[in-house]
Amino acid sequence: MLLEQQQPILQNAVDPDDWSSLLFITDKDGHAIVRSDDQPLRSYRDRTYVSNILAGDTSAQQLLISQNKPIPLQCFSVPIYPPEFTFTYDVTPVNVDVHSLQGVLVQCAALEYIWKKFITSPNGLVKTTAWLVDKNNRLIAHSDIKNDRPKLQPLKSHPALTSGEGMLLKEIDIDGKKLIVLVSTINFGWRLIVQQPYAQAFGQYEKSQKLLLWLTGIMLLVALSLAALLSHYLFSPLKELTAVVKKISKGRFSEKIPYTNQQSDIGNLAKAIDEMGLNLRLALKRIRSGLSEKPAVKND
Amino acid sequence: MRIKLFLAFAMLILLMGVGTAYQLYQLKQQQAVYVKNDLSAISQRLANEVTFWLNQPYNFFGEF
Repeated sequence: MLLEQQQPILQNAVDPDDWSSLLFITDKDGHAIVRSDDQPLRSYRDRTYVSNILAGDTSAQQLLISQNKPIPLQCFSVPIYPPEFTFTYDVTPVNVDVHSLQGVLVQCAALEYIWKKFITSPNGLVKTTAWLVDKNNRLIAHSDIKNDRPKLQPLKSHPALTSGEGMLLKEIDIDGKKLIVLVSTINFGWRLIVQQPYAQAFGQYEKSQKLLLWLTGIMLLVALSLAALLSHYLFSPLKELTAVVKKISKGRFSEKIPYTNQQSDIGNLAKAIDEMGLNLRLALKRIRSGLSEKPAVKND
Repeated sequence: MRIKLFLAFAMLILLMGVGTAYQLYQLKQQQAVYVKNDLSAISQRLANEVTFWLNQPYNFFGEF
């Protein structure tokens, strides 16, 4: 097919408003022979996504800043082989000789599509911030950077980037602000960081904790007051009754016994002591009168 | 007797403290699960968007 005929096909295949912003084909030396736009044709051999295909890879990709427009692009590429080769991009073709390679088909997508997805990402009750970085920690998208598109600047200060592979939930401190962060790894070693302020994420817990501590404090105070009252009610009468019993034991039967009017165990004890004192007094009286009569009988 | 009562009361307070601490621990664990689920859901949704976007060129190459 003539090159002049290829350009309209490429132009129809791209959609600058969507994920596909540029299509081009290079020859087997990596030099562009046709593009979907009108930019000059140049060599792309220095680009990883072209050089890897020329070296025999069946697909390649590279994240970069466009030379024509200073916007971040993700470029994907596949080899072009003669028609007799049955080729799919993800399966290594059988008996493919790199010398049979006819060229490279490249498609580049502006990262704005992803970036827009991030900045329009709705927040729930808690403000959530999302970051997307590539395997070299270059910032691809950030939900809080709304006015200036990311320029793939290296991001090294975020403590979550020191984490390993997989999905990790971490508590980190940035400038004295506690955050709760989830880091997950996706395609091409890109990492997705989603974070929420700890105070908001655990706001409900903090409220419940405060309430529970208050309730415990109040319960403690009530328990202390009850214990003090119980102790006073139980031990004061016992102490007074003990003192009275000691006086009675010394023969002071005229002592007035307190709490005899109470309808309680203390009252019953006080009545019993009173009765005991009365009986002791009577017994002693009898003994004394018996002792005074006995010598008279003896004299008779 | 007073010492015994005091000890019993101290034990009661200790038990209350342990109970409260355990309840708070449980509460925090529960909240951590909620937070993780929330963050996972947001993360998963964005990851799906990115993966969908990254797969588009390959789908396109397959049809081209």
